[in-house]
Parts: sequence; C-alpha cells; structure tokens
Amino acid sequence: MKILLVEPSYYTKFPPLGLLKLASYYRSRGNQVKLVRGLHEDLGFKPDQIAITSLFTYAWKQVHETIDFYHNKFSTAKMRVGGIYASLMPSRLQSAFPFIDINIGLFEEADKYLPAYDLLEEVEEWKNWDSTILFTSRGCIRHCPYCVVPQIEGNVRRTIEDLKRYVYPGHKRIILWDNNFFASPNWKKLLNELYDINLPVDFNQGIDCRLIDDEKAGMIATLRISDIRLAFDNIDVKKSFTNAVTCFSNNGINRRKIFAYVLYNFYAEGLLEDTPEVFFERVKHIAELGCVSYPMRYEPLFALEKNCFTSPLWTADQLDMVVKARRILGFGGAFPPYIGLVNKLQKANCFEEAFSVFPLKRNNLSELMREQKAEIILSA
Amino acid sequence: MSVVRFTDEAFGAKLIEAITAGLYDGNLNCLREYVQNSIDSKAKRIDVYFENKITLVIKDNGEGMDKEKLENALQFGKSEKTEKDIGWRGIGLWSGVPTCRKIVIVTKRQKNPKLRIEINADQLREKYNQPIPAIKVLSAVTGNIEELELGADESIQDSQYTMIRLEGILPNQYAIFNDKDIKDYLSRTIPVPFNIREFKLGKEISKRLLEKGVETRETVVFFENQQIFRPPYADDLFFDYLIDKEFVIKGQTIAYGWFLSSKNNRALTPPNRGIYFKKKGMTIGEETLISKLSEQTYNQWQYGEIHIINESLKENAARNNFEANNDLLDPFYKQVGEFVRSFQSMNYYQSSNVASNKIEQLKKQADIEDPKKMQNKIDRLKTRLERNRSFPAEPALNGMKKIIDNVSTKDKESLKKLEEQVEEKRKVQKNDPIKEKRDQFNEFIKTAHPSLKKHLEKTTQKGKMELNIDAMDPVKDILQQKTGLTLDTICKLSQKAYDWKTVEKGDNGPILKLSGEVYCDRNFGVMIHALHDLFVNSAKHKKGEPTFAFFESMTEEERLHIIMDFTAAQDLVLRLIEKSIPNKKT
Repeated sequence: MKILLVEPSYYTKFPPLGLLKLASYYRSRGNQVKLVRGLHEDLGFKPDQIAITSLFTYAWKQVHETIDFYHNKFSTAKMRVGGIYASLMPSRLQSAFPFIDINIGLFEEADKYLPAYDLLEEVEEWKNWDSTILFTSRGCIRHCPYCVVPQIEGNVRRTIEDLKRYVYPGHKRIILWDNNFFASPNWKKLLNELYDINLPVDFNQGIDCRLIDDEKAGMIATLRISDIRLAFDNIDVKKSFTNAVTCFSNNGINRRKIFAYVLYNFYAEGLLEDTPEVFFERVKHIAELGCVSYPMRYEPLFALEKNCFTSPLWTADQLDMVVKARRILGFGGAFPPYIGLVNKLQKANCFEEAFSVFPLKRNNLSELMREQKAEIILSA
Repeated sequence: MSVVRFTDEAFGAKLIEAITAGLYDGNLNCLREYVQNSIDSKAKRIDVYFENKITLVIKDNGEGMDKEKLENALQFGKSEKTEKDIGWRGIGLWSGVPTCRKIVIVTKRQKNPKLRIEINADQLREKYNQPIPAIKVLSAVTGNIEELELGADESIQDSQYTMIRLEGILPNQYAIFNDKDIKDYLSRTIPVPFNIREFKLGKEISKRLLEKGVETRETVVFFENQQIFRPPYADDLFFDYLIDKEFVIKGQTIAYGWFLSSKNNRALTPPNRGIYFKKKGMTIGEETLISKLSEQTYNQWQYGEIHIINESLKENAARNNFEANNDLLDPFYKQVGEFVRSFQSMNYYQSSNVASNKIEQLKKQADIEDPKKMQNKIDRLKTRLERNRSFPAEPALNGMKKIIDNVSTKDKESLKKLEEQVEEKRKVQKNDPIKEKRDQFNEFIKTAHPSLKKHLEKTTQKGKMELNIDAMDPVKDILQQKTGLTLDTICKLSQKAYDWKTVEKGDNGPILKLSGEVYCDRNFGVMIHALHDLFVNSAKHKKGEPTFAFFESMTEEERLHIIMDFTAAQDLVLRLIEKSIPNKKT
C-alpha cells in the first residue's frame, strides 16, 4: 500500500516526529511511504491512504487547507488526521471534514518505532536535520492547569529503555522531549546512558525545578549541555527554583546559561494568581539570581488565533508592554541579567516602572544599550 | 526399569540460542539464510537494502507464503523443503535473532491475503538464559499472524512476494552490517551471475558449467539498488586459459571445478582471490577451507570454483563445511588437496620462468637509474630465471604449461633487449661532461672546510645539484660569533660595501645589477647576490619560489657550475672569516 504523510506548512522548529514514527509503523507492514510538508501539486506518488498531522490549535488553518487540498487531489484515498489540534478539537475538525478519520491522543503502537528520519532528506525544510528526538517518558506527574499534556498523554510512564538503540546513526545531538524528565524513576540510568552516548543533550521541554537536587544537578553538569531550561511559571515554586539554580551553579554551570520560562497571562478562577506584579516579581528574582528569563504568554488550549486571549488580571496595554520590553530591553525575546536591566528591575516599584520603555529619556536608553553591549563583550 | 519420558519441558530456551546465535558463526550469515529462502521460493529478483539506516530489508518476488506455509516456516527443524531446495533444515527464519530487535515477515502468495508476523528478537535473547521451556518462549515472542490491507497496485489474485525485515539492527552490530562488508559477503556467498562486462571469461565459464550439468541457480540480487555479481571482476589479472577439472571417485563425478591462474607472480588479492566450494550455487565454507586441504604452503595465485554435483555430499547446517558422515568426503578432499598442491608446483614453475612484471618495472627504471645498478638488477633476475623447476604432472594443467612457456620465451627475449639497452647507456655515460664535473665536485667536498663538509655530506647525491640553504648557516654563525654584530647589521654593511641591487634576466642567463648602469659577470655576481640574499632571508630560497626561478631555469651543466662556484666561495668566506678576526667574547 502507498501512504502519503503530510505535515501542514505551519511554523515550527521541529520536524513532525509523530509522522516519522507513523512512517516506520507503516513500513513495518510492508507499505511504501512518502513524506511532504505543505501542498504539492506534483508528487509522483498515488497514495492509497493519507495521514495528516496537526500542531497547536491556533495553527488550524493550514491543517484545514491541507486536508482540502489533498482530498481534492486524491479523493479516493482514505484520510486520517492526528496531532494536537485533532486531539483537542476533534468535533470541530470532523464537522468540517466528515470524510476523515481522526486519531485522538497518542497512537501507542507506533510510538515505539524509531522515527523514519531518512524521509526528512526528501523534504526541503528538514533535509539538514541532524538531531535525534527522544521521549524517554510520556505524560507528567503534575497537573498544571495551563498545560495540555495530562489531557493528551495522561500520567507519567516510561516509554523506551536502552537509549543507544534509538539514537539515529550519524545524528549530532539528542533532544529530549520528555514533559518531565526527572519524574521518571529511571532518571539515573538514563542520565548515565546519555553520558555514555556522549552527544550534546538538550532537555528541550525544561526541567522541573522542584525535582532538582545536588546529585541530579551534578550529573547534568557532566553531560554535553549548552544551557539549562527551568520553568518558573508559578510564584509558589520560588524556593525550589532558587534552590535549583544554586545546585546547578555549585556544580559549575554558569548562571547565565540557566533559562527560566516565565508563564504570564494565565487565568483560571482560584487556581493560580498570575498578575503583572507577580510576573514582575519572578522576572526580577531570576535577574537577581543572574539567570535569563524567557516570558511565555499563555494561550488557552482551544485558542484558534494566537495572542488574542487577555487574562482578566492583565490589560492589553500591560501585555503590550511585555512584548515591547522583550524587544527593546531584552535580547532574542529573553531578559538576560545585564547590569543595566537588573538595576532597572531593582529600582522599579511596580510592573509598569519595570517594563516601561518610553518614559526613559533618549540618553538613558542609549546608556542602557551601551551597558548592555559592554556586558555582552565582557561575557563573551 | 523405567523409560525416560520427554516432555516439552525437556527443551529449554538455551537451545534456541544454540540454534540461532551458535549455528550461524558470523552474523552476516543470516543474510545467506534469507536470500536462500528467497531463491527456493523461485524469486526472479531479490532486493537487499537498508531502510532508515538500521532496518535491513530482504525483499523478493518469489511465491510468498499462505497462512499454513508461514506457520510451517516458523517451526524449528521442520521444513517443507526437500533436498532439491538449497535450504532444507527449517531454521533459517530465526537466523536474524542475534542481530536485531525485531524480525518482521510480510508475505503474500497468489490468491491469498497479505500476511504479517513479527518475532520479538529482543525478548527472545533476554529469555535465552531463563529456565523456561523453549516452546513457551517461542510462543511468547512470536506475534499473531495479521492480515493486511492491499493497496491499489496489488491484487489478491496475482501479487506475490516476501519481505523479511530485520528492524533495529543492534548498535553492537553496526560495524558488522556495513555496506561494503554486506556487498562483499553477498557476492562471494550467494548464487549470483558474473559481470561479463568486466569479466568476459565469465560467459565461457557459465557455458561450461551448464554443459557439465552444474546447477548454479543464478539469481538477480540487488543490494542498495546495485546488482551483485560474483567474483572475479577482471580478465587481465589472469592468463587467458580456463583450467577445468572433474573430481571423480569410483567412476562417479563428485564435483566440477574451473580455475584461472594469475599471470602476475604474486598472490591475488580479494575479491579476486580464492577457491570456493559451491553447492547449488551457494558457497560452502570460507576462502580458507581450500588452504586447509593442501597440507602445505599454498600461495593463492588461482581463482576458482568447485561445484559439488553429487547429491549425497551435503553441507553442514552452519554451511562452513560438509557433513562428515559420508564415505565420499575423505577421498574427495584428498583429491582436492593434491590438486591444490599441483597448483603450488605450477606457481613455482611459473616464478622460475616468467618475469613479465619485473621486466616492465625495470624498463621504467632504465631511464633514470644508474646503468651499473641496472645491470646488477638484470643479473639477479637472470639468475632467478635460470632456476630449473619441473612442471606438475596433473593432466588438467597441461594446457597451462604451453602458456607459461610461451610467456617465458617472450620475457627472456625482452630481458635480453633491455640488457643491450643498458649496455649502450653505459658506453655513452663514460663520455659525459657533467659526470666528470660532478666527480670533481665530489673530490672538492672531501677537502672543504670541516663545517661546510659536514653539511654537504648530509645531502644526497641528488641534493648536491641544489643550492643548499643550510650550508650558509656556518657562515652566518661564524660571522656573528667573530664580529659580535647582529645579522641585520652585517647585511647592511655588506650591501653598502658591495653596492649591489638586484638580479636581472640577461641575454645569456641572469646578471647582477649594481648601482648605476654597471653590470657584473653572471656567475660571480649571482653567486655574491645569492650569498647576500641568503643572509637577508634564507627561508625564501626554496625550490619553486620565484626568487630561485633563475636558477631552476638553467641547464644541468650551468647549474652545476654555479653550485661549484658558490660552494667554493662559501668555503673561501668561511676560511677568511675564521682567520681574519679574533673571537669576540659575547
């Protein structure tokens, strides 16, 4: 059988891992597969089946376009759609396209296969991809109200062992997509395996600061790791966060290489207080610790458009201030602990003062920029 | 007295390891098992390829299996096949267990559904050492037979194929399962045709094998989209003469062999080396099997195949030898051993009579090499060719004697010609002016200033034809030592004193330009300039650099002349400096 796998052409930094595993699953059943990204008129391949993936809900338009396009092109081919959007909003998708089958959640049978990375060589956007993406576990022990993982993947469980077998020969890096790596009781064995494999490792989804102690930080520090990503989404974890930073720092990791995701604009009645002031407090604390903060604007699980939701605890102006501050005061969307920026945050009495950009006089701004530059040079 | 009763429990899981891992001594051997199954299923074409780098696929267009056949194929040692087939022991499907995580079989027989089954090799290996009955283990690691949907380009009526997938080759096997080794392994093991574009004799060999009733089962096999051919891959390594030999025991033809002999007097190199036993086209044992039979040194100057015709001579399960319980084997091996020893005698005979390569090599050297040395080499070769060796009595090799003798006559003639040529060259050399000069120069070196002599003697005969940069080092050192001045100051002073500027290309070679319009005699001028410049920057004066172009463009004789002048001047300078100024203490 011939099976066409399609990744809609939405923005993403990572290749469609699910489709790649599905490809291996299909091949294991003697089928021929082809992977494409976006809409292609001339495929030279007449599929019996088509599998389309999806990503965030706000990237639904490209998914609909893709379904339309390939359904018109190969009207007899059976079509199935999976991925995050399809799992979260199956009825929306089904009512738009009654002829498709929808895969909700994880297709466990395909999850165990080595992704068919070889197919990426044929896709212009991915042909230079050289990293192995691994889930050593699925699901999460936490049930954070703003996170989709419990809904799609459920409770935490181990998926693969003996990582070496899952590292694609020739790849130069390992990207871990575990939602919460250290929630796995297996973490020590896995870290030792990663150490033996001796490739650069990226804990891509961030590390749960509540689970970090000196032993774990010490083991992480022996890996080939370029930066550490932690989450500081909730002011309640301030103590754990501070402790994690200290552990990493004590084990020789430069604080500037510690990035903290800072969630803002989240709202759920009575669950978590996310106000501009709390946001300011977290960013300031991160800066004072000498780490980099990376603000993450909350998107509701079912958002059909990006950046449209405003929490009742935030105003549109305040959200705008964060955007501007990231662009003007920050670097690459993050707030690094430049002396000028730390001073500004420390002097500020409130959110508005901390993140205002315009009230500053031109001179002050350029002074600030100069300081930043000097900082960059010094840290280089 | 009681009878021992065996139950299922009697066969532990360890037995499976003995059969899968133990039987196939090199792990690539599982490829042979799968390809052989494909050939037995009457496949016209077999494709072997990697998918996603670590899944190895063996796909054929043979008859495929229905449910019953698939079930049977998975039984241990219970094959439906007869001895007409290549494989007949019913173990083959499991041979991939030690190499991968999962063996998947996808198969379709005409008028039957497409079927799939997987064997979890990971689990099977884990259970080897557990005290579990083999039967339980086998059922635990084998999945159910699934029926799979057909695509638009397949039909339930006509489609037929089998695809074996070794999914997830284990990391410790990556080194074994590399493209080159797989290709080499397949080409020397499985029944594939010759590439008659590279090896034209292949056509004649195939014809003869057919005449002798040898089943070669040649099949089209591709590895990574490249067709696999069996060696050898070249004609010009061998004498253009096909040796053939029937091995007959008690009037019964056991085997038929064909052989080619190298025309170069040295062992052949893989892949064009070896004498292989074949049965139904499949190789039995490795290249080394034949050497064991000769019982004495055998230099592999021959390539060949010995095809077993007799049905009763069976290969063992590991296919690394024949089953020993056969009355024919010993006399057959004895005959083969004797035949190989005849090859070795023929090799000795050839090395005492043929020297085509050596002569070609000497011809190339004749232009550059010293004629006296050349004569020595020719003499040595002549001694070798005068050795008397007898040709083996083996009748199958009679034709080769004529061939070798013919070549030998030709070789001896061309050696004689070469000798005459060298003799001619020696006569001419005696009147060579350059040689005379060089001899003078060598005489001079013997009497040169000790530190200069040391430098010059270090260089080779050939090196003396170059301006030797290092040779100025003693001058520099002694000057600095005596005057206590820096090199820079010495340079400035010498330039001021002699007032020279540059070297220019004159009508009759380079000339030195002094200030004003004064030109200087080229030999002396160039020499002085070179001396000066060597002080300034000796590193510039390397062969091929523009500053030395003038020197390199001269004839050999001119060059030698300058070098001699230059060396003499160096010698003079050294002696003058040494005598003129007392040592400065630094």
